[in-house]
Amino acid sequence: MPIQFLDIRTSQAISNGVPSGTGSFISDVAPGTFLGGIGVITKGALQQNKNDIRVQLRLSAGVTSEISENFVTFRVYRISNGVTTLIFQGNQVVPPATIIAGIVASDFQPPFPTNGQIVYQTYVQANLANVIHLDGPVSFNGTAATGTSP
Amino acid sequence: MSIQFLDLRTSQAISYGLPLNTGELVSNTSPGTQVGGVGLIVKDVLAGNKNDIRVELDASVGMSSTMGDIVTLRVHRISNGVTTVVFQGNQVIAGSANVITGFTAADFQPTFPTNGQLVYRLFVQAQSATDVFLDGPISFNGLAVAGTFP
Repeated sequence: MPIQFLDIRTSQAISNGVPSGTGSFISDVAPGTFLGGIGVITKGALQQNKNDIRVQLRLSAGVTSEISENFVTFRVYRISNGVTTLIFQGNQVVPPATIIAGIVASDFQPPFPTNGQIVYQTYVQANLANVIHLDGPVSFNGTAATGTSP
Repeated sequence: MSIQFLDLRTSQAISYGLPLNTGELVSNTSPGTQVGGVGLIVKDVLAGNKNDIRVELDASVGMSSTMGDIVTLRVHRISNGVTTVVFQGNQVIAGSANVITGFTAADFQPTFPTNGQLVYRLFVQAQSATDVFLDGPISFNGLAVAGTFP
């Protein structure tokens, strides 16, 4: 079956970053502070393409550590058919200066959602409480495609 | 209405990064040095989808500094004669090291452009007028979609 473009969804919680070190603190309790969520619509998938969905997810988050170097953990969850699954997790050092940290993640051939929508949510957790600011910007975007050429 | 793929445009000003601290200097005057621009063609959007355009913008920018500095990355939308900041964030540039920074950004449901084109420009502004170098590479890419399923 042909390659099909399915959907792009965006979730930009903070468009304009605030001055360094003035944003709210990132939670140190798992899974952390919620950064964004999207519902990628896959109901346009042809019957034969339902088991070949590919999803690309991209996240940017402006973060600043107080005084010394710390780190954050980024997590992405898939919520589909009533099941929540961790699909991506990684750590990133945060210096005592603002950086735009980010990830590219993918979800390969996830189970087809009976309601036609795959939800993705992303969180960031700090290694310690009250040490890392979420200054923004924050943007979380996803693209889905399926199928291939015979 | 169904989900429509509208356009994908690329702008890669520098494909191959230069040696450390040999690129063009980054301006310290707002909005900074323009490093990319794309014009996404949205004129094929169905009438019922005109108010549900979603744009994703992704960038990588290679820079360096001798003493270290902080840069501000900005994305402007130019549409219907109006310029709007749609994404802004800060990024530290360490001294004496190349860094490729970047981001994913979104523009959700921008006002439909009467000429059928949404223009996005990427700027970088330094704090120092003489110590941030655009060594490259630089790539700025955009995607536009619209609509959803009933």
